[in-house]
Order: sequence, then structure tokens, then C-alpha cells
Amino acid sequence: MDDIAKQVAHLSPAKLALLELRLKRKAAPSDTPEVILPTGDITEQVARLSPAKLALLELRLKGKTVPIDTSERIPPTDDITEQVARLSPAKLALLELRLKRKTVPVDAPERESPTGAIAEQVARLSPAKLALLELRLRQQSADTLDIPVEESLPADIAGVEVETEIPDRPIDLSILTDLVDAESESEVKEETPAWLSDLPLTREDAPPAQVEAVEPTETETAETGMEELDWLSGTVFEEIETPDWLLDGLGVSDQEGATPSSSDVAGFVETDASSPPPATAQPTPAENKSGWLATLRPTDEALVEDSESKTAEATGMLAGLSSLLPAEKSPVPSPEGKKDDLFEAAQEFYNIATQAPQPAVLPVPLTRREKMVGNAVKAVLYLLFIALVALPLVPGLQKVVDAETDRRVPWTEPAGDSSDVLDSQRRQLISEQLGIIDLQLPESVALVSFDYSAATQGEMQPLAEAVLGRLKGQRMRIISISLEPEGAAIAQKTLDDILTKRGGQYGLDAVNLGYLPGQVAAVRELATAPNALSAIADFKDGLKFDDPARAAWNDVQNLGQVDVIVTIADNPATARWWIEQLEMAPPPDGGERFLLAATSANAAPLLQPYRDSNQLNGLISGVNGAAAIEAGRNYFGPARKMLDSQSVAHLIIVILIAIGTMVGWMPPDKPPASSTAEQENGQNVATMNKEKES
Amino acid sequence: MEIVGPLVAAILTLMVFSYILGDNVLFKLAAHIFVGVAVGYAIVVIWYQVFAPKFTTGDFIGTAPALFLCFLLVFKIRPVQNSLTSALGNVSLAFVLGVGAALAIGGALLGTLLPQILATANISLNPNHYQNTQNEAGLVEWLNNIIIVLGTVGTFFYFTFAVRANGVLGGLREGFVRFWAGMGRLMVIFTLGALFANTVSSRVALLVSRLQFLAELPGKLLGG
Amino acid sequence: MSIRIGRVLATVVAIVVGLLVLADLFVSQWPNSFGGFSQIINVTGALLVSWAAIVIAFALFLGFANVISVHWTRIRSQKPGTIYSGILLLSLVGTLIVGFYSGGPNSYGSQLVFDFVLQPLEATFFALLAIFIAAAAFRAFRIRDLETFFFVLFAVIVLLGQVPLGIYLWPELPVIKDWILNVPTLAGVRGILLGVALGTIATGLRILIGADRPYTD
Repeated sequence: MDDIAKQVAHLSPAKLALLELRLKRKAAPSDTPEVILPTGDITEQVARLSPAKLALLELRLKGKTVPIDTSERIPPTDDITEQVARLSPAKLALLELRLKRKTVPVDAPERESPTGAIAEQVARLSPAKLALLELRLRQQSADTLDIPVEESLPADIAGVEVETEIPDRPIDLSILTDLVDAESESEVKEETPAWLSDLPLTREDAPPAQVEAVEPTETETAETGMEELDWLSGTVFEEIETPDWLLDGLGVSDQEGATPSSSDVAGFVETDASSPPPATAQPTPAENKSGWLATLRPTDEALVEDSESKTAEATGMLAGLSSLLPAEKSPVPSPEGKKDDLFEAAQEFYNIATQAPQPAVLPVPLTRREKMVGNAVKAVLYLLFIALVALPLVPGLQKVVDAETDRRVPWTEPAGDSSDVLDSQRRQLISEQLGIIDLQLPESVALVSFDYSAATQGEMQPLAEAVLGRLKGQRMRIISISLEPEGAAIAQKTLDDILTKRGGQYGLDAVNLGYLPGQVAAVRELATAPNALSAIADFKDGLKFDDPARAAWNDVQNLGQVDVIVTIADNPATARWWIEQLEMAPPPDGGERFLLAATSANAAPLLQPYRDSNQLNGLISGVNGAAAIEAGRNYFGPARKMLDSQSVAHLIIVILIAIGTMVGWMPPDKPPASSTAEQENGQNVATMNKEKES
Repeated sequence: MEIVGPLVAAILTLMVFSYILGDNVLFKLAAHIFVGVAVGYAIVVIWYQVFAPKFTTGDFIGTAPALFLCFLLVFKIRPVQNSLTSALGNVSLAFVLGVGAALAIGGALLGTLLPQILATANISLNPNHYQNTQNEAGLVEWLNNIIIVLGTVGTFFYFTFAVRANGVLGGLREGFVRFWAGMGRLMVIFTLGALFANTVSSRVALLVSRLQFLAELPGKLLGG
Repeated sequence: MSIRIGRVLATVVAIVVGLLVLADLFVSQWPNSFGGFSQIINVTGALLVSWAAIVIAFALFLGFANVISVHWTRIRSQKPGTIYSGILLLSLVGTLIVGFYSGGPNSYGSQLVFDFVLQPLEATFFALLAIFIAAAAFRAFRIRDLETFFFVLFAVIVLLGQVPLGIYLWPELPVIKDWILNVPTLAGVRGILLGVALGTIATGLRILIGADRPYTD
């Protein structure tokens, strides 16, 4: 059952926010006219949370840096009572829950294993409970100790592995949520799940580290002092972490001076609220990764503005684009006027806390047999798709126009009169985007950067071959490099191939300088260093340009002697490095230098503005671009061989979109067609997810 | 090797494709082999292409500080929270992030922001600047440029100026922003549609290429 | 105490190094050299960048070390999946042996590994995405209003306009596709790029003034 905790922990911030939103939405009691005031204490409320929510809460608490009162230094302590006393109410509740859920007989032998004196203390439940009780009593009086607990999330090592192992396919979060909720019922009755008992033990495991984290430091003080720089904090990267339902409306609650004693929920909320906005939230690597995408979301305030977007995605990178997602809309109690924000926050929390797990969201659990049938149907459909796409690739089924020379063309490529549109489009593409190459003199130098790996070789290789062929056709000398480790081998293979086909000798007409480390730093170095090219030993023979065997390259030292730079990139980010860094480093001799980008189809639209502003002198992309070059030579090459299959696949996907849309139009109160198909599908994906996790 | 190699490749390909029948042993096996080989291969490349030359070509002195920073980074393998060694490892990270941040700022400012603003600002919306607004081509170009300018500004507003303003001018500002953001929203939807289609196209190409390998395999094995 | 010094040191390094490189970027745009000043900045900046490139390459090693340590621990603790971890480490060690024994990534052995093991596996993993995209296309699209309608419409036009088949359906399709990509998409992406650039600058500045310190624990 630790799956859920793990699953939640592995989610990216955006997904977390989404999950949160889903959980929140479910909570909205559409049929309750009257909102019940949060009366129960926080412990109870936490206890009622489903495992997914618990995991979420835990994660939040872990990630949160609670502010520090620098004036007061609290000495480290081994006293369990004191330690417990320092916990925030929410954490307390969690601890309490853990203690409650722990079943002694099962865990006992494990707990006696060497975990240090404090761990043992915790293992003996009564003192902790005593401390808890003590604290509760103390909390009633005014003074609540608010101690910073700075726990960074453990560096997620397994995350690396998981990412590489599992293909990145769209994960339907609603399914995860449903799954989680469906299982939560049985979960409660079970003995302590492993993930639940993890935290307290690990916390106790390393008391000194913990203590140090507690100790306020100067740098942290500096952080709080940085609030003046709030104008900078509007960066989108920051925003990912902030849409925190726990903190909703808390800034206001602070001003209104709600006291911790107003209610336990309010207290819970209040303690967290006393923190300044997490302007110092440090982006974790995971957040940085999604930097490009992260920018695709507006700030929260925008959403508050829009009253109708209350039902839309309010968090995550999809914020605001409600209608694009098939998310179920359930009414959320809308605030009437500017009521007490704290009350709203409390109410929201209460809603979530009291919401019963809803197995109703899932259809009746499928039997094993039904599942197998569902999986089989799905597999058959997938296989059908693959078969249809693969059919035109079978050499025997290709269209032969000239039997003698075995000249072939794609079936779908129009012939005769109707070919005009395509032909003129292709001609235009070549002349507009690759016209620069045609202007080059023989023996001029082209630098080709192979910025793709084996993963995208399927799409990029035909393009790379076509572009290199074009350069070779102009009798240019080619230097290849790569910003990816795997690119070096790919470049070598492609060069060898081209030299064999078009004539030429490695070392004379072309040379591969291999992998350059440093990503954007590599591009900068290449663009500015006076011996950027001559200092690198080549990939194949390990020779530099000053070697006698490389006499043909003596005139090339750096990018100043390069006439055309081509980046063959499978993503927009890499191409942007080239564009931006070259913009900042003009050619040393003040001459002209051209930059072309040959990219994957998905990167091209994101680079189009640079082409429009002439920062790129040419932009050609995907199988389509490669096919255009091949067609210009009347060559049935790798790209044109793919065109028929590409057509079939696109057509099938369009048909699927159409069917899916029509299914979506069916009235929702008639469950059969739409919902079952979807749910069955969802069920399968959920099963797959689950299996994968295990 | 001419036969064995492609056969191995084909078997591995099929092992991965077996995932469409559900998660299974073959797929898991392939996944783990993949990770192992990928990591191993990358280590070999990085060693031979990056580090070995530093030691062999006498370039050692010039790069000694870099190698020292690399050494500090070793402490991050098993970071002990808040230990001195971990703090030293952080110095390496700080170095890389400092350089990265500077390059990113420069690139974004001089490579994207200024050129793209200039490109948009250079678009004329005056129909008289278009040689032949009488005929269709000129008119279309003019209209397209209007769309580009409105769309760019709108999208920028949609993503950037979403903070609510207070005060007397706040309402005015809000109305202004709302108008542009509405325009931008529409443009973003168009853009996402096109991006989705292009992504599909890219991914399909990867599938087609693998299927091509399988489809051409029998001919290759029999013929060669 | 020493920890605090470490933190301060890291922050100082990030700020100083960042500002030097940033200065280099701008100085290299200046026309004259101000008595060799700009040259000093240029040389320093270039040196720092080249060091960063090496450290970044080394950082990849760290990632690999992590993978190895995770799987090694899994084997030692006999957790489920031990056999897979074993296979992973075996293939890793095998690749290393082949690579170092046969003399580098361009050796025959490494080429075989790349061509017949790594490339097919990696490419096929990503090929699976296409199948799941097809499945998602069926499940994800629900036209609810004008906005989703436009989204789907644009997606479908570009999808069909990109392949020669589209011409049979409607000869104008590729032309409209080009218009979509060159006019509205250009505008939308340019707006996004401007926002991204602003965000990048803000994030970068936060690091350079020490407001953000992602490098500390």
C-alpha cells in the first residue's frame, strides 16, 4: 500500500496540484445547502483523510519551510516531549494518527531494531501520547511554540530510474485518484501501512541533523529579508509551489488576527499562515525540468478574477484552460461577497476532511475475467493500429512506378495534376528555408550539430541525412559536433553514410568532433573561444586540426571560419541555445554567418518566431521537411518511405478524435456507451499504472 | 554480425513492443537492460570525450580548477544533510548554476526578448505600407500581420499581466488587460491545437521508423 | 559554523561567477576594449564557462552513480525486483567493459552495443508513445464550447495538412495548415516566448542576487 505515498511523492508539482484539485472538487457537497461548521478537532479530521490525501498532506508538511523567529533560539533537545511540542498541529495530528494505527504485534520486532534511544522512546507509545496530551493542554493557553522544521524532500533517486524505465505517456490523474479512493476504504481497517510508519522513524533516526535544521541561521534570516524583492517573485517557476490549498486565503487571516484558539482548524491554518509567502521556495530539480511548460500557466490571481473559472483548473500548468480538459465539473461553493476568508479556508479544509471515500466514481469493480477481456480488446485494438500503420512499410506493398529501375513513390503522394499543390509547396519550402545553402561556395565550411539522441532518431535521421546530403551536394566541407553523448555516434554513422553515398573522404571533406559537454555552456564556449574547433580531437581518429593528416582543415580555428551552422535538434530548447548564444557572439571578423535549424515537427512551431525575426536563416522540420528534400532529388528515401504510414496514422488519429468527440456528446445520464468505454479504458490504464508501480 | 546484430535488435524491439499486451516480464527485462546499457554507454562517451583528453593532452593545468569542482561534487553522491562536505559540494553546484543563470539571462534578453520585440514592433499596420493592398496578396499579408501583432501582444498579456490591481486606475487597467488577455487566450488555444498536432506527428514518426525497421528486416536477413 | 561558512561560500561563488559571466556577455557586445578591461573580462568569462561545461559533464556521472547505488542497494536488501536490478547492473558493467576494453565509443564493440542494443531499445520506448497518443486522442477530446471546438479544429487541420493524404481530402488543406502555423501559431508562440524570456530573466536574476539558492541543501 506504500504505492500511494510513493505515487504521490513522485508526482511533479503540477500534477500534485492537479491531484489536489481533483480531491478538492470531489469534496464539494453539491447537495448540502448548509455548510457545517468545522467543529471536530484536527486529529479527527486528519484521521478521516484518505491515504492519498494523507500522503499529500505529509508531502506538503515535509516540503514546507516554516518561518523562524530569529530572536528566539531553541536549543536542540533529546526530550521527546519537547520534540513533540515543537511539531505543528497538522504534524501532530499525523503523528497521533500513526500512533493510533500502529499495531504492536506486527511491528514490534522491527521497532526494537537499533534505531537509537529516541526511536525507542517513540516506540513506547505512552510517552508520546502523554506529550501530545500535554501539548494539547498547553495549546489552550496562548503560547504556541512555532518551530521551524526544515525538511527538504529526500533526493529522489529512484525517480531517475522510474523516469527512464517507464515511457512518458499521458497519465490520467483522475484514474489514480479514483483508484486511491476506491482502495482507501479497506485501507483504514488494515494495519499500519509501511509508508505511514516510515516518517516518524526516519525523523528519529537522525536527531542531530534534525536539530541543525531547527537551528535558525543567518542565511535564512536573509531570506525573509528578501521580501522587498517581491516583484521578482512573480516568476512562473515560483508559482508552481504556491497554489497551496492549505494556505488558501491565509494572507488575509493573518491581517484579521484570528487567534489559534478560535478552533482547531483555525489554529492549524493560523500557524501556517504566520509564515510569510514562501518567496524563498527553492525550485527542486523536478520543477526546473518543467520550466518551459511551467510558463504556460497564468498566475493564481488571474483565476480569482474570473468568477466562472472557479470550476476550471485552478492550479497546475493547465490552469484556466478548463474546457480543453474533460474534467468533471462539480459545483464548488462560491463565496458570496467578501466573507471571512479564514472561514472559507477552514470550510474548504473541513469539506476535504469530512468527505467520504467515493467508490461510486468507479463502476462496479471489474471481475478478473472482465479485466482480462478488456485488456485483450485493448491489445487487439493497439495491434490493429500498428498493423494498419505498418502495412505501407512492407516493401512488397509499395507503389512501383518504374519496374525496370524499381523506382517507387508513396501511394499517398498525389500524381499528375493534383500534385501541383504539394510540389509547389515543397519547392517553396526548400527555396525559402534552405536557400542559404545554395548560395554557399564549394569548400565553404558547414558546422552541423547533431542535437538528438537515439530516442528520436526515427524522426530526425531522415532529416539529418537529407540536410547533410544537401550540404554535400553543394560540395561544402562538414564539421559535425553533438551536444548529446549519443549524438557523437549518430553523427559518425551519418557522415560515413553520406560520404559513401555521395563520395568524399573522412578527414578531408568531413570530420566529426564528437560530443561537447555543457549544453548551453558548450554553445557559448564554441561561439566565443578562439580555438573552439581546432582544439578538439576528432571522434574517429583522435586527431586535431593541426595534425598533418588534417591539413585540409588548417584554415579553420573557430566559428569565425564557419559559413553555415546547422542544428539538427529534436527539441526547441537546444535550438534556442544556438539561436540565443550565437546572437550574443557575433562572428569575430564581422562577417555574415548563417544559422539553420532542422528540427522535429513538435519543435518547429516553437521556433517559428525566430525564423520570422531572421535569427534563424532557415527552419525545416520533421518527416515532411525531409520528404520535401528527397522529392526535390526524385529520391525515394527514408522519409518518403514513411509518408504513407504517417498518413494512415494521422487519419486514424483524426477518426479517433471524431469518434471520441461524438461519444462525448452523448447525454451523460445514459451511462452505456461513453462512460463505460471511458471507464473501462481508464480502468485498464489504472491497472497498468498499478502494476508498473508494483 | 550482419545477421546476429539485426536479429538481436529486432528481438529487443519486440520485447519493448510487448508492452501493448500489458506489462510483462519481457518488457521489464528490456527496460532494465536499456537503463543499464544507456548509463554504461554514456559513461564511456563522457570519459573518452571529456575527461580522458584533459589528462592526456597536457590540458590538465588549465582545467585543474574544473576538476577540483568535479571532485567537490562527489560529496553530493551520498549527501549528508547539512554536513560540511555537502556544503562543499554545494559550491560546485553554485558555480554551475551561477554560470547557467548568467547565460540564461543573457540569452533570454539579447537572444529572445529584444529581437522578438523588435520583430513585432517592425510590423507595420498601416495599409499604405503594403505595396498592393488592392490585390488579394497584399491585403492578406496586411491582415496576417494584424493577427500576428494582436496575437503576440494578447498572448503576452494572457501569461504575464494577470495580477489584480487596486486603486482608481486598477479598474481601468484591469479592463485593458482583460481585453488583451481574452485575445491571447484564443490565440493560445489555436497554438495548442497546432502544437498538439505537431507532437502527434513527431511521435508517429518514431513509431513508423521502428515498424519500418521490422518490416524491412526479413528482406535484409534473406538478402544480405 | 562551518556549515554556515559553506552556505555563504556557495552563495558568494554563485553570485561572483554569475556576474562575471554576465559581464562577459555584455562586454563582448561593446565596440571598443577600454584599455584591455573588456579583454580581461572576456578571458575570465570564457574560462568560467569552459569549467562549467566540464562540471556539467561530471554531474551526469553523479546521476549514473545514483542509478547504480539504488540498484545495488536493492540487490543487497533482496527487495522484489532484485533480478531486474541485477540485469541492469550486468548490462551496465558489460557495456563499460566493452567500451573500455575495445577502446572508446568509436570502437567496434561500442558501435555494436549502440547499433544493436541501445538504439533499438531507446527508439522503441519512444515509439510506444505514438500508440498511447492515439488512445489518448480517443479519450481526451470532448468538444464543449467554441474554444474546444477551435482547439480540435486546428489540431485536425494541421494533422491532415501535414501528410500528402490531406490533399486528397481537400486541396487547400496544406495551405491552410501553413497559414495556421505561420500566422496564429507564430503569434501565440511569440507571446509565450516573450513570457518565457521574462521569466527566465527574473529567475536568473534571483540566483545572481542570492534571493534564490537552489544549490543549498
